[in-house]
Amino acid sequence: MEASLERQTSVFPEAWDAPVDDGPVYTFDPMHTPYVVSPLQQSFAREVFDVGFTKGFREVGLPIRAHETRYRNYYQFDRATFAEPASEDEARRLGAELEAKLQQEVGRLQERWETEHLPRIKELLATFRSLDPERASGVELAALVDGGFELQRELWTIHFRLAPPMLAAMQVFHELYAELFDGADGSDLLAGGPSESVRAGQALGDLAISARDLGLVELFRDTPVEDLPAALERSVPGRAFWREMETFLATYGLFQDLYEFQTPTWREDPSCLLAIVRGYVLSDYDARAHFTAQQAGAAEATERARAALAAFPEAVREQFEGLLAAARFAAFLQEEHNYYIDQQGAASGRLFLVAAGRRLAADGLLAQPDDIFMLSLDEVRALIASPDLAGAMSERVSTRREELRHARTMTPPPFIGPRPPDAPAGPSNPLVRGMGRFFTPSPQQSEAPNQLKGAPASTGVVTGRARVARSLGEATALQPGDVLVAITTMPAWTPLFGIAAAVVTETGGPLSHCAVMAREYRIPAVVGAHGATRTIQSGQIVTVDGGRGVVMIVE
Amino acid sequence: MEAVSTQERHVRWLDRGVVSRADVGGKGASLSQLAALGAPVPPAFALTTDAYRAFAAAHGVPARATDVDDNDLTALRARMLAAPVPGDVAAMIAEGHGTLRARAAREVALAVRSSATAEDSAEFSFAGLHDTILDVRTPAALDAAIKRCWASLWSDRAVAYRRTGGLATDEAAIAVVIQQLVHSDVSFIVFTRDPVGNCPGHLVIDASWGLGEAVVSGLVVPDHIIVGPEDEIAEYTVGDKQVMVIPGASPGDGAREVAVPRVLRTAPALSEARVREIAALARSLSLRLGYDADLEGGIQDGRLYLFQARPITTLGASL
Repeated sequence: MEASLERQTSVFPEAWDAPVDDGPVYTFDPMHTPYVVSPLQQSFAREVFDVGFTKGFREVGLPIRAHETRYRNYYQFDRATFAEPASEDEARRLGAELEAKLQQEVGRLQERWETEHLPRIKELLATFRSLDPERASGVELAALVDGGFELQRELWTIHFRLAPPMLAAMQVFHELYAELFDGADGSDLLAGGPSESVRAGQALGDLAISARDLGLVELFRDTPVEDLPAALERSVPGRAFWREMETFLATYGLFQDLYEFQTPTWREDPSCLLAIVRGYVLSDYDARAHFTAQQAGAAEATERARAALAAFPEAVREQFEGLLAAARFAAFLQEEHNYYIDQQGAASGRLFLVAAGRRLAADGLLAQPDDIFMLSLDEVRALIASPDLAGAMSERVSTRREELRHARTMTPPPFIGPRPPDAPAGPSNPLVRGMGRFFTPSPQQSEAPNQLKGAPASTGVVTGRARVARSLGEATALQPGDVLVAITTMPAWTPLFGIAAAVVTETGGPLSHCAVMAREYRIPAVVGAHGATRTIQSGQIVTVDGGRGVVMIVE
Repeated sequence: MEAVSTQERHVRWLDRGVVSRADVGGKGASLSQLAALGAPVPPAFALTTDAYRAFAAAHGVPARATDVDDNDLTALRARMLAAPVPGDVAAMIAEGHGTLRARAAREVALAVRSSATAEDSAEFSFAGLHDTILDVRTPAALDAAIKRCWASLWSDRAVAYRRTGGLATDEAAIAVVIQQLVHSDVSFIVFTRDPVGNCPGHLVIDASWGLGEAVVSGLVVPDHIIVGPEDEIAEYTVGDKQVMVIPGASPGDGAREVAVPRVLRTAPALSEARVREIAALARSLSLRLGYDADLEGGIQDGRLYLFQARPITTLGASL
């Protein structure tokens, strides 16, 4: 372990294209990890994420050998390898078995989530949060860290047990809908139920209503976001608002704007939250009314589809209803699992590690608590076991901070390894097709100057001022009516969709989280528009045609 | 008395006693027989051969295949389609349509089927020679459909069939069956004796999604089921059901052909319980009809219906 970490960091900057080993290529996934990844996060990916991915996939019958994560210059690359069938006959047999297994898992997705997965997730999160590394002694701390990682491993195993049937459920519904309705898109029928993310969005909307009721509109309008906490503190209504915000944070404070342990949660740093509330206060966006309208819209779209199918044989109508129910639950689950595992799990992980960092700093093993992120898990273990390593570790921390800063300026290639990524081998199944529409499509040639092409993600045409944002912090400068242009949008960003006129991302496909959320917020969206954050400048006027997947820079 | 006889001359209900082939054609006669035996047939009336004759007389339509030159058939049919239906016949059609509408629980769609006097007899099947129009909903569409059926007596193929069958000098007349359309989820044809294999005691079912046209006109490779003497499935060969015929999206559209969703193309259209139900019904009807039958039917909302029965005509030929 020690040696492999050395290899990653000592020969910095390492050539991007040097093969890691003889296997297939490792792919850069800017939708999930667009930016540099800290050493501790890297350990987490290998010891928790990779293991959970592999176990979860195996449990739903996928012949995965391993999911492996590798790093180059602090950027994450990954690959999944699958068992190669010995013959075409075996490939056919395995393909048929997998389809049957997937179908079975799609059928019981809701039941398993409600009776099995969600209760277990809540239990794991509660246990995890009860761990208190700050008060643990050295030996206890080592055990706590291992125990904590074990809990996270189970959390991510559940994640990857859910993901295949969830994607497959959405994919098979979209395929059936397109077959029945001349290639049309059935997303309008899938408006999710009241997920925790929707509830968080509504609670955010309520905060904005409170701010208006408390007469704080002018204060929000005239105060820069960074000065808002102090300005609110100075008045009675401002303090009343702050108390409401703390109540919100107690329930919904475990959001981070990136999947990275280094990124503070809203609870630790509410400035992003404040900026979003500010946007809501200054716009007339009403989260509750929007949700009601969206549910009504989905019900109407469903009734229209049912009316159009009335003349079809019962078997078709039954198939449609079955797949619709499964896909609707899958769309809900895409939000819900993300809230519980990707968000709560990761944010709880951060708080846990920050507390461990405080402990180590208090013991004089680290100069400051967040130095912990600059060490691998093995190094943290070694440090706890042998306090005399503190000096050597401290040097690594400063070297790596410097390297990370430098790495941020780099642009990673789409893959590393001996050959470019192939189309997924083996028989086509709904999961493979679904994953093809979840991840970023290949770059597309634009048809005109000042035009960018991506994947159509949410229909509608709108023109507005572009706001290019590489982080949620930058995104909070978004004004109502602006077009949000980002590499990727994390779940914490989605409340911004309430005030954005449209969204453009460089990554993801029509089944990606961003696309699903844009449809839920009913704003036009183009995803997978390669190079959008470099081609488009903040302040330019752009026209987004979400139905065609085209962005035009107007001026 | 006069009014009643006019009505009887032009229109006969097919579920009020057995009616003769001469009056209502082979299809109409067998439907009246099925109804009399208590078989699940949808409500229907027939426009009699007399109604056809009244129309033919009013517009100078010839009576025999020998009366017309093959080259004149196209013009003859066009003339028939454009000609008005005599007033008393039209009134009877409207009344029958109204009665069907009153008997139906929901908006009524109709299947309008030709029923020639010589067809569906033990000697001649005429299968598929004369027109059938599905999903007729408006009076104007019904008027047009009836004339299409009448004109199909003079289709090139029908005339050729009569000539080669030695029926050229017979007076040709045709009745029209106007039947409440069953919105079949699955349609089937059942032969109470295997017309090809001649396996004693076995019957054969062909089934596919949607209205019967897909199976009857060979638009699909249907599921092919061989049923053994105990009504057990001896062999179920799932077909490749690429298309289906379904009712139109709105009145006036008529039935339409659409693609079957991929997941259902190679899925069996009939459950084992359905196969047994169809086989048992077909056997018992064949016994009571007194001949080996070829029955067309469908399933709507879980209920089985039969639309026509005719003797199997190809048995002798295959021996």
